[in-house]
Amino acid sequence: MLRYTIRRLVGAIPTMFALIAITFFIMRIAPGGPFDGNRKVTEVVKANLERAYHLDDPLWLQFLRYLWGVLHFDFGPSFKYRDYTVSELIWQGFPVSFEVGMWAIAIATVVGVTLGTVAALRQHSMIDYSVMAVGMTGVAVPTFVVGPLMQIVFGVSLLMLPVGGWDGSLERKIMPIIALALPNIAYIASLARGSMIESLRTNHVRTARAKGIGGWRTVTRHALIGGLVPVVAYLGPATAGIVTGSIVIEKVFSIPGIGRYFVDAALNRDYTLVLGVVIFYGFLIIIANLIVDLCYALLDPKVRYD
Amino acid sequence: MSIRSRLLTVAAVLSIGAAYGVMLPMAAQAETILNRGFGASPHTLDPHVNFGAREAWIQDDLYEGLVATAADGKVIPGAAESWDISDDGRTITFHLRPDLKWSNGEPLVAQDFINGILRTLDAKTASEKGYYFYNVIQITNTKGYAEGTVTDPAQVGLKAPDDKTVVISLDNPAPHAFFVLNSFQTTPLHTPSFEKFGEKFVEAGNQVGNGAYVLKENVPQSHVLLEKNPNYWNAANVKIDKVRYVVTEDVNTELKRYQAGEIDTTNEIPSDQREALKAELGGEVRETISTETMYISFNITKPPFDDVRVRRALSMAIDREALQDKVLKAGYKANYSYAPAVDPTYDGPKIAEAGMSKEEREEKARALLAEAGFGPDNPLKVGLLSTTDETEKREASALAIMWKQVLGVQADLQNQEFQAWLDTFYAGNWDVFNDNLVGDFPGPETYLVYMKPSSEAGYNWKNDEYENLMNKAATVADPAERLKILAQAEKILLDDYLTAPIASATSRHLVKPYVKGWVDNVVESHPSRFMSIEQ
Amino acid sequence: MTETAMAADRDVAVEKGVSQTREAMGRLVRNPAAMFGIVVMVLLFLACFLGPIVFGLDPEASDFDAVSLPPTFANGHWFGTDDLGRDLLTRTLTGGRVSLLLGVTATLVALGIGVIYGAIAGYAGGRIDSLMMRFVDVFYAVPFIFFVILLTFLFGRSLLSLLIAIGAVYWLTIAVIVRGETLSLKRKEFIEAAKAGGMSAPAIIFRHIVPNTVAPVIVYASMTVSDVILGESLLSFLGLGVQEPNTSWGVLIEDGAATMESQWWPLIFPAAFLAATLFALNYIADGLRDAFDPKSR
Repeated sequence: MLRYTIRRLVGAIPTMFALIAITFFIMRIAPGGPFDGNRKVTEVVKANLERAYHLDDPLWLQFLRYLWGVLHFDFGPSFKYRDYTVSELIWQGFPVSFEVGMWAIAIATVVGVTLGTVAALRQHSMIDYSVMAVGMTGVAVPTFVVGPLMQIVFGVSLLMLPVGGWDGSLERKIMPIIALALPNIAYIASLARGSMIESLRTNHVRTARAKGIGGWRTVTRHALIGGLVPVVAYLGPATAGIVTGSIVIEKVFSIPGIGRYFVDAALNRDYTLVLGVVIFYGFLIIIANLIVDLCYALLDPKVRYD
Repeated sequence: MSIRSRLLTVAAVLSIGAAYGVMLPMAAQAETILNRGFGASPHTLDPHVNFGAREAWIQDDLYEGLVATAADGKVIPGAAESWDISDDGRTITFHLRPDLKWSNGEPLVAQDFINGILRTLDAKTASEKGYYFYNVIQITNTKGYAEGTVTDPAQVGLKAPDDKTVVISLDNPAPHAFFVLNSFQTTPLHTPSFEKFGEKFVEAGNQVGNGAYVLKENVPQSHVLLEKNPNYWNAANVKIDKVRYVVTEDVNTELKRYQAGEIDTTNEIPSDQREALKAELGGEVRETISTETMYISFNITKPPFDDVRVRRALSMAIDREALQDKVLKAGYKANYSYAPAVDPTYDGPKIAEAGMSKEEREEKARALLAEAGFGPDNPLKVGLLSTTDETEKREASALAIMWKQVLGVQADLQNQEFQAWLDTFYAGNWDVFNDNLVGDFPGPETYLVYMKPSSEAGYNWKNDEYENLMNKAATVADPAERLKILAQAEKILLDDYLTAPIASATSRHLVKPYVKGWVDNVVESHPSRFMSIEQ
Repeated sequence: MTETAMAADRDVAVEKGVSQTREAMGRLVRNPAAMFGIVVMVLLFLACFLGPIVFGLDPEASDFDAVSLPPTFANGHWFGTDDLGRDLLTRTLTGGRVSLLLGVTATLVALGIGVIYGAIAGYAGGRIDSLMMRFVDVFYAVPFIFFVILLTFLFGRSLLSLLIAIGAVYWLTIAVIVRGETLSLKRKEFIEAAKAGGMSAPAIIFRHIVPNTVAPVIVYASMTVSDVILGESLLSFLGLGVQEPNTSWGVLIEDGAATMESQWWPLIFPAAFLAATLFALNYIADGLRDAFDPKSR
């Protein structure tokens, strides 16, 4: 297992390199640039601006210069947020996105697996349908509707919770965490239910039940473990995606995370910021998928990595 | 002790305790804080780099230029208490106040203001707003300095003969100069902190300024917190102790936060709720004409849009009032001239549509289009390009519908994200596009200058008469005379229908009734130092 | 997972001549939720594709004096009008054409690619699996907006670009899930038996792995249809999806949500149609999963 982990981590290096190279070059193919927005700037001044940021160098040279910086953990200055480096922006924003995201995925997993298991145990009954229907409203009602609705009810009408902003207090975290958890509850419940149904029908579970081992023990010990594989698979990329923030949640609740950078930096052609968050996210994905793979081996002793 | 005296003692203790309990919170409440909705996160707080109009509010609180803007938008003395203009209008001499200090107590001198302007022009600063000094007004040799052809700062038309005097030399007289010499353009440079921290000299803790406030906290995507500067020359009259600019990217969330009392003023008002808010909140809704004008532009190099009859027909088919009042409902005002009505002393021309009735316009439009060879059996195809801005998209849809109903035009609507849009514009792959322009100061000249063929804004329009008139206007010192020549130039522009005006945008804010000192004005000047909170 | 191989053998031994598919269809028909879902989908398709034609409705007909009207029976605007004075019932129906077609097609494409990719990676193991999954890692992290811009650059503003753009996002997680299950599945006895019996790898993958891993993901995929339909509005925003005056449920819902505090009708009706589609597809997918599982009652 340890050798496998080390091999994977070493393998992450060429993966990251490929990611940086692909992102760098498709960004430059796109029309426009970070200093194109102002139509009042003369050509000479625009050239000065680009020279100050080395944008007039040949592309391969810019790429190498960027790679050299990355090796020294220098991700460059942001082109749009001129007062900050990319590292500073990610460093300040990530803890916020992470906190909201981890709570959301934790809640979603617990609630989702529970709902899915209950539904699987009572398949085709009213409980099954109602539990799944409740779960599915998380997907049916989009986040950009749920968020503002919660703000209207709890923030403006009842004045129970602040509408938005972030100061680390619990009351500012509740609504965004719930809004972020809801769609994931639905996906996790559905995956859990589907594979639990399969799992409950396997021979060894039926044998265990036939032997008279009590309901819950059978469920958790035998069925759930096997049934969790798809859930764990889903959680890998889902967690990486959530902890890097959701642009909708962060805009609606005025949360200073890094979610918005994934869209805004691209639209602003803030090359360094885009690369910075891409590298960061790529790294998280690699780690998350590695953890997931290690979990498979834990869940199913027959899984081998050769 | 008797029962009576015991009761009296208890009563006395309780009353003293109560009085103290009431006074303590009052003493703690003596610090006032104003929460201002700001919109999207500020791009930079570097005063010589910042190009954003909203960031300019923060800049105006942190720094003071030679000239300042009052709460009602009028030009008033800033760091300079008075100034003299030479007869030919080409030399302005500013006299600074005595005893000006930086926020850290160091003396503030004339050369600091000059250093600030030079830093803005310096190529190494990579600032986009140098053009104020050589396009909007023409300070001697600033263009050369910015482009690198002039390397000695002593050659630039900025001199500090002594610590209290700044002399600006212009190539051309500029009556509007005082609108562009405030904190946005002429923030002084605190050389010691810039030399020590480099570009990080604007960070909270490093920042040294000469404005009414200093920077306390700057959390990206969250807020910017300012604190009163005790070394400001007018600190005694600054009533609000702390100002927090709150990042509010989502306009609906901002409204809810205002309704919940989390912020005291907003940056915007959602268009779909304007009417309801005006009915419900009355005077808290503040709308006023802004310096942004909206129009459509035609690609005169691409047939059939090179035919002025086609352009006129398209312009005439637009029902400008219905567009604003029935469809967009954003409170914008229909516009019939290129320069919006931001200067009350300017008597500018209007396009002919202004005086026509709806039937007249539509009939004339159909006639013109038929003359140009288009009609029901040969429908005109128009590609209309807009950015992803919601209002622009709706406007484009409405224009397409009007053109279809009146002229039978087949419109192809395309919206692109901003960068792609710019690229398409410069490449000339468009027929008509949704355009807008924000003026640099409240006068027609800033808009008309942009249209000069020599300024190469991308319209490919050649008109020597217009160019000559604009150049002539630039040399005239008398404001009234200057405006007359500008009106002549605008008439040429309007008659050629290079563009068709649509509307003047408005700025919209919500302001709580207990916030005093917020005055609606066209330049959007709302300095915190003129405001107060009345409990 | 299910031991389809053994069950199939047993079924053949007991009832001759009844194909597995016929049996599955039989089970599907007896599933009330799935049938309800099928009926709803058929109605939705008919309403959206034929409704406007049959009743002669024009989604572009606009009346500036009837802007943003709430729903009434009187003036014929049963769903109200939008901010340009156009009938929302008509626009919801015509918008459904794009959304239903795109939603179902893109999801099926993503499902197809994801399942095959995941099964191959999981079954092959070793170097091939490693390479394939690293490719997935990179694909997750590549910024979507630039990917879309690149697509537009290569294929123009076409249906192909749109399909690729959407499908490209959703096949990834499906592949990851299927691969995970395959890792467990390939160690099971019946697979070892098939290998020992000389069955080739592609045959094993398509005959045994794929059918057994599809079960959980088919229901998951049905739920991503809602995401797909909403995601199309981001592409419209970037200029790739439907452009005005055409519309889709994603665009209608996005626009409706922005003004939902002053007008409920532009949001509720398209959202209800989307929710109906979601539930219907979910029940159908669940029914299919059950139907093809020989162990279900």
